Amino acid sequence: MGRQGPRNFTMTRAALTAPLFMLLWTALEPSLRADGAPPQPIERQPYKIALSLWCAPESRIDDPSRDRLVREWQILLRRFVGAPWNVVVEPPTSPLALLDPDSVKGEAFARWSNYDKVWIARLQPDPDGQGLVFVGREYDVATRRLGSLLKRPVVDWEDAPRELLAFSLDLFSPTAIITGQEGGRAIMNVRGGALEPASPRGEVVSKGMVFLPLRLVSLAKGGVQILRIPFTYLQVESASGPTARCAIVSALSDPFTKRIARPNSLAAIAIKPGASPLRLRFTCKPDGAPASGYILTARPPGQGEPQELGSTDRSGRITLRPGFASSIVVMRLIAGRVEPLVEFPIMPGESGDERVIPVDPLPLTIALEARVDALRDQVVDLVALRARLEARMKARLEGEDWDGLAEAIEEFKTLSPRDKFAETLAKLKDEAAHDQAETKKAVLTRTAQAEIADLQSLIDRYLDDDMFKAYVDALERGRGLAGKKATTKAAARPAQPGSAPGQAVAPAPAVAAPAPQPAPAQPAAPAPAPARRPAPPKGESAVPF
Amino acid sequence: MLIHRFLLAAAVGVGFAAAAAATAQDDPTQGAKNLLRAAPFDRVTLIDGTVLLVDPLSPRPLPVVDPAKARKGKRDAGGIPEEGNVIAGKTTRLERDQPDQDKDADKVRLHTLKPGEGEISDFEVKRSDIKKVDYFEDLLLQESERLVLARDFAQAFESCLWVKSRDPKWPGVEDHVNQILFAEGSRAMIEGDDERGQRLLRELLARKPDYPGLIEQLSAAYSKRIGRAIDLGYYSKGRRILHELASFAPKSLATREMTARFVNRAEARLSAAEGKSAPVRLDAMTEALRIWPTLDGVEARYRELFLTMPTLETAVVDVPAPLGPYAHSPADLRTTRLIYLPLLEYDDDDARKGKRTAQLVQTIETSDLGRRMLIKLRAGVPWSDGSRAASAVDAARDLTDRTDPNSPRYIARWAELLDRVEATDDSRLEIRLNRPPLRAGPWFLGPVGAAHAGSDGREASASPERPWVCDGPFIAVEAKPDLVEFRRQPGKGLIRIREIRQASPAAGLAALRRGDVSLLARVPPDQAKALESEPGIKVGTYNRPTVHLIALDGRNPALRLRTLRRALSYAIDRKGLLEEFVLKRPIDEGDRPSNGPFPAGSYADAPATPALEWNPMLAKMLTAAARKEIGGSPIQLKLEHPPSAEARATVGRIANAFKAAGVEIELVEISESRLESELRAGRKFDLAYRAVRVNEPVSDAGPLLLPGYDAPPEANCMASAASPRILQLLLALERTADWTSARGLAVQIDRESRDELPVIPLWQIVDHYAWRDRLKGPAKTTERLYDRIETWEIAPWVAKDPETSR
Repeated sequence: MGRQGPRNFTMTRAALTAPLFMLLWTALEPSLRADGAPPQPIERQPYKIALSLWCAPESRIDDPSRDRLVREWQILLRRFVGAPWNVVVEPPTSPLALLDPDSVKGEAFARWSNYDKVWIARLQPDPDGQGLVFVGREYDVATRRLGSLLKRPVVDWEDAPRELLAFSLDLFSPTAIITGQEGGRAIMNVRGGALEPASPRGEVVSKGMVFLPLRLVSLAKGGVQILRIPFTYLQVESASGPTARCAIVSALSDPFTKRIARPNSLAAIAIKPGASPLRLRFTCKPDGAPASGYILTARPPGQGEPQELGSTDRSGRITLRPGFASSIVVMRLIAGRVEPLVEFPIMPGESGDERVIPVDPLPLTIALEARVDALRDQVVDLVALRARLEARMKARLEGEDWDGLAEAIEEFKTLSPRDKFAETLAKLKDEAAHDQAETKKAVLTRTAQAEIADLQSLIDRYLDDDMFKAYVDALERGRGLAGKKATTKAAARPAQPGSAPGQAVAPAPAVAAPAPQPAPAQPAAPAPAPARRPAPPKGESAVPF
Repeated sequence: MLIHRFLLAAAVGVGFAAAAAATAQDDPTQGAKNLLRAAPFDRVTLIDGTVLLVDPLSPRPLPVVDPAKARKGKRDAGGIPEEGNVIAGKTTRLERDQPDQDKDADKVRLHTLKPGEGEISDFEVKRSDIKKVDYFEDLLLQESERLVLARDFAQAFESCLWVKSRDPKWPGVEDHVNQILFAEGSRAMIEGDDERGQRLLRELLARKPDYPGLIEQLSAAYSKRIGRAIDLGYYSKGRRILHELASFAPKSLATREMTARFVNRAEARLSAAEGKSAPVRLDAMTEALRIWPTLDGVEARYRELFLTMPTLETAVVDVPAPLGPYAHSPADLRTTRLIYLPLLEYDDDDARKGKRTAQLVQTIETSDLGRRMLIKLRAGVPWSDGSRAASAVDAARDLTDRTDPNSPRYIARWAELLDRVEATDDSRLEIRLNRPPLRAGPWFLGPVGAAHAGSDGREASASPERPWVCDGPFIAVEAKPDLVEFRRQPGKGLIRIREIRQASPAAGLAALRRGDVSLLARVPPDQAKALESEPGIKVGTYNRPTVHLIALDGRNPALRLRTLRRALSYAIDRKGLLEEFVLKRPIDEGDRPSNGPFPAGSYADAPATPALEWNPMLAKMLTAAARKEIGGSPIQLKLEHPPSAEARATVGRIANAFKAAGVEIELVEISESRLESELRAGRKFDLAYRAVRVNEPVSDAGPLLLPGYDAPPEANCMASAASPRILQLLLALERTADWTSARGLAVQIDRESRDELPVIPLWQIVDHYAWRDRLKGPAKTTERLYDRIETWEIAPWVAKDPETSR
């Protein structure tokens, strides 16, 4: 209840309908060869790539140097990538050289529709470092999608060809068709996946790669609408040739739903962490007020340890620097101490555009949890004090210091009773249930219920009075026995002259009184063994002591 | 006679034995310690040279016996007088002397110390057989002489004390005491312990004023102290010492020299200011009279000049640094109103309708639920550089500067609230806000600088001397680390205000008592009551208490732990510290420990909130738990604090309490203006002692709980909130547009802060200020120190020494 359904997210619809999208079909569907031979399946189709490499004048790289760089890079391409890529290098005078990777729009690549991918790269001085840096971006013609802005520094000019190769591998985003689902995993057929690369570095798909799923919807007039499935990613778990088996990381309960009215199919394009800052803005429903002051955490998909990224500012915004994570992460916006308001996966640096995410601030739940936290603090303090007193009572009992034990018991009695906390907690719970019924909004979320249950178990487990009662019993018995002993001793002791001033001195008895019984080694009536403290909870105990 | 000789022989024999025993065993005369510890004895030397250690003789000292006189007396006593002894009417009797008594007086009973076994210890010895008696007292005095030479003055004095305890009138004991006092006093001064040396010599002076060399020695010592006081600028103290010197050596060379030194210095100060401007000459005269109040003819000139330029000198512990059109610290809040007019003097209807005078606004009209404001400004308020009058351009620039993260005037809340500002003409300003504000008034209470001046409020020029451009009743003329001076055109009332930074709160108090300053901005809490009863001094009260707390920086991962924050809170004995070290009296309604961030009595103070408990045991346990949470590494924090009286009195003890709980604390003292400015700018810290006066809980809650609440976004101050829950409540409060919700949220913040502990509340204190009665105008209670300063008046006054007055 508290975790707001991801289906409430506003879907960023890259709703692009154009005849050009037929290209996607032609690219992703088996195509007819020009010679009339059977069409090549997509897994055997290489990628036709256009590269524009422009060296900024500030980099002091002249044309011969650039040409040499390209030549050496092509040699490396053949050695490491080979068949999957078919790269054409645009001349320095190409219009592509004028495009700024940071601000370029997809429309600028209309003239390069005969390629599968267009890479624009710039070599320029590194503002953050001492050397140069490659800055570039990929444009996928079939999906009309601009990839993330990527950067790769070049510290030594001699390493430039190798860095350009690595940069190219970063830029390259293979495409795939989602052929189905199996055991909660998505199965993909990756284009060019069946082509043997020149080296393992040239593999089109490999374990750990992340894909962005797309839904291709056939429109009535023959066009195709490409929809990004929001907050959903596919992470390759295993790849066997062109077939990849992927984990579905999604904020949606059924991201590949079949409940779509029009004919559609699913495709995917790889996505890599970019160099753009990730800009998020959280707003409160229903008024759209900024969700400010909330903590954002991130963890790897699965059961990773969450890491705090920061808190939203006054306008509900948070900007995450590029490189805060190396791959896809699951983000969570937390209100109060622990209450998650929303949870979604995202790729770092995926886009520089701001994404607006509405959340339900759950004010009543957060207030309830704050009160539960305060109550838990009191319980924890009480547990600590009781533990200290119990240790003292135990020592007094073992030393048969009845007065000391009585004093400790009296001190124990001044502590807040268990019932007080139990009643307060029950009252809190009732009030929350009442609020929930009255406002028809979730108050007792899963997290809140877990907090309450945790505190209840803390009270039950640690504020048990049995041990205290056992000590009270032990005190009564111990004192009774001590009194008896004293009486016995007094009776057994022969009267001494003048021992009792003012009393007549009794004559010494002719026969000695029977000797008093020796004191037992252990207390005659040992205190019943205090009830054993229940074992601490298996998980993280809320009692820190 | 035979018997006598026998006894003498026996005595001699025993004496030898006793002397041998004394030498062989523990000779009580060996060393002062032995003598002081030894049982009293006398040393008797017989005519044959025998030395006997005997029990103290009695009477002490023995009466002097002249054998010839004694013989003559005896003869006289037994014969018939020359004039005959037969008198008519009287029975003639022959006077007989008392042979037994004479006999006894001629002998002395001796009881030897430590006789040998079986030996006789008691003897009677004829006085004529005794050559010399060394009494125990004399031996002690001799020992004291030796100890004086050995510079063991304590033992020497003890020796004399013992003599005095045995017989206060023992001959020579007083001389020995005097000798010790002189020797010890002289020695102490040679060793640099002047205070002690002078105390001893003054004691000697009281005992024996004509002790040889005493006056010279004492004069030299006093001269040294006076010289040092003059060098350090402690003229009042120096004069007091000079008066003491004059009391016993009025015509000595030293007295004359030191007097001349004072006078010369005062005259030099005067002559240095000759031909300079009137304020400089007035300051010179004031200082010259502080050096030597009775300087010939100066007082009259001073009074004359003072009346043309009434000057108020205020003692403060902190001056604005830097001084400009912004309010970052309590010192800024105190002074900026002197030199800059705000848009509104107070956030009330009178101010909005232009009924208040010390403001720029003539009227404010609001519309669109308060999102749109039309402000009409007063005409004819000139800037101090004479360039033009304050106009809408200045207000517009000020309001937009507050949205620029690079400006020192930046206020994050205002930046988020403001949509746009437009100066429609010279006197009209239109402000549009992004949302309806709860109250817009508090945003207009700050200083407004000139648009044509630099961001620091000074003239925008390349000149090294860039004067401030002001439009307030005063203009700033000087700002140094220890002095800020404001001045205004001659007229009625004060012309100059000089804020003088004191080394400590106690120094400020002393300056007020001496009369060096006429106003003390803040009286140490334990001194307020005492000061009220002092003649010539009045004490006023600030009408809102100051909340003292320890701010926490949540950017330190350890302080994000609720467990550690609770441990720190449990470790502090608020009531004990407040009563014992701050107030030095029991707490009361005004001065009391805090249980939340807002002062008790304000509408934001959550009712029925229990007090924060002091439990060192729980503190220790929670610290251990916190250490476990952060991986077991030791927790080391830095506690920064201002040099205020409360902070100085308590931070050491708080640090000790934290240390006892298991948290290592490093104390760092830093001036309040610097500390507050840096914290407000978003600088990272661990713990900071802050004293904040909460005027309006709803407006002040953010900066109170989060020092960098209004800092630029780059500082990432949102992350410095130790409690995310409280931060969310603060931001919700900031966006609230109705008073009912805002008050509810403020109370909720106060209540939840007790558990969340975004800060560690300490206590609240009602602050006082004090002034000398030469100053007329300060109210008994006020919101700001210089409230209604235009009505204040001050009379010239010279602090005369009590000795001179007498």
